[in-house]
Amino acid sequence: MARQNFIGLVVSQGKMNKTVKVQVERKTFNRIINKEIMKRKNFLVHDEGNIAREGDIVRIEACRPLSAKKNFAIAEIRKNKGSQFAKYDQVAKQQVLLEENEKTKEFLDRRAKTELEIKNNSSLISDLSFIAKGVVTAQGELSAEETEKIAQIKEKYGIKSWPPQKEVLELEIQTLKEKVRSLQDTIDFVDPVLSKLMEEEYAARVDDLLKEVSKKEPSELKKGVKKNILRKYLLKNPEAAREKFRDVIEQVKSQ
Amino acid sequence: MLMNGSVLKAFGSVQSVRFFSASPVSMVKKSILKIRATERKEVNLLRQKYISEKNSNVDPVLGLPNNPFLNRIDAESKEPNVLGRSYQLPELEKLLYGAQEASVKDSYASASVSDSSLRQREAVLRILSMKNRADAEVLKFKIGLAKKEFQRFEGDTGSSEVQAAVATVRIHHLYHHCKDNKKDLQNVRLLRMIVQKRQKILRYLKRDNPERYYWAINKLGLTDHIVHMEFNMDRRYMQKFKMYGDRILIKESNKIQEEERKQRRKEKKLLKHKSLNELRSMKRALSKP
Repeated sequence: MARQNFIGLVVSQGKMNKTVKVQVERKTFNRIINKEIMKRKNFLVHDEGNIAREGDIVRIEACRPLSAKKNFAIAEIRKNKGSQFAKYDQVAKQQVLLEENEKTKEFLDRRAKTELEIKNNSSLISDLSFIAKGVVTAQGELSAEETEKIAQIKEKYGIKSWPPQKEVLELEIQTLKEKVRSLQDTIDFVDPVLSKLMEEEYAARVDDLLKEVSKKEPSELKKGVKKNILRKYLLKNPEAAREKFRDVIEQVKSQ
Repeated sequence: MLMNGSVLKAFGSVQSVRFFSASPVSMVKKSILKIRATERKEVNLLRQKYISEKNSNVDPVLGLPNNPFLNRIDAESKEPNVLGRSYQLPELEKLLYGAQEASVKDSYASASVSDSSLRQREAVLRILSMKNRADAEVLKFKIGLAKKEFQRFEGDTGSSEVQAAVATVRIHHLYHHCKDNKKDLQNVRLLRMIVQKRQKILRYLKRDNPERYYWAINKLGLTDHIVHMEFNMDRRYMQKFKMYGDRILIKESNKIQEEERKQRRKEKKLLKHKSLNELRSMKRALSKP
């Protein structure tokens, strides 16, 4: 007679040596409510190598009684999801440890640097006024120490000339403003040029470009799709587009 | 002698040492067999108890103690050069320098102006220093740091691990608030809700991306068991993990108290046996933080 065979989920592992708890689900017909319901039964199952992990799906097979409550042994592991998770956990633990060590070191370095800055009482104002003083006093009167310090400060802020307005005092908000302005310029240039290009007379040139850019043949594309592809091209490569459609742009500008 | 032997028998490693092996089992009195069986059972029950306590000893709200990530974020918010209102120190210095220059257009080196502007700098930095900002602002700063560390891509604020990290930072913040203001029940409720929400988010993440899930929980000092356990931050939790110190929040009935005392006595008695080294070391490991 064939041995009894079940497929079930490992629900508890590591509490008993060489033993896991496996939950087997079965359908049984309930006569009172006249439909099939799921029934669960837990088996204590022998696991010789302690290989199964919680969450694995295993096939269990009947064997001779191994203890008072254990009549089954694991025959195979069908899905090793639980083992995979245990592995992920192990890998993650090491990864986090390395990451944290690195980040903590970074932080401590940064802290040491700020401490030094506070100790030296250095700030942009005092640094720059120091350089200014150096510029005003005659070349011969500065001590070697002072000249060295001035060189250090100049290197720190990237100062090449005096007064250093531009490089040193550029605020983040200004750079952002310029970025937005250039983006706006591109957008402003795209719309009128696009509508001009969609006119009949430029159709041949546009088709040439579309052959390079799009996957489909230009004749297959609808008008709206063409326009979209063209807009994308103009926004992404403003330089190349400017070169290619110089005459169109000049026409738009003259209008 | 008998007692010793039966306890030893419960452990496979020392099975070869049997003091009464001369007489076959069938010769031993039934009553003695029964005593041995109960002893074995008690030892096994105790071991099961310790194993299950290993999981339940981790705080489901705060996670494992001394989490490096949270400690670092905490330290970072206390740095002297961190400013409130999301000002950056170099930007601020440039502004102040600009103000100084504006006041003396002609000469770059005017000692008195530079002195007064240094005083000005000191004052502004003191006002903006994180030490002097509101609690909410400090929390916001910490949440910003947490987002940056957990994001999948630049500007990601909504992925599950970011949500879990933000929730964890908020939980730690609220926990200390609730601890200090024990009558603030509204925030206790809020804390309870966030803890359960974090569980839900992390459970989803485990289904969605298990690798990332394990990374996130390890980083936040949580365990798989904490995420999946049924948990409500109630008085029993507060008493067990000493949220309000040694205060007794739940008074057990006399019957249960008596039962517990009995269990403790039994445990103490069992642990006295020489052969139960394994159990003793398990208990020691539990009591260690």
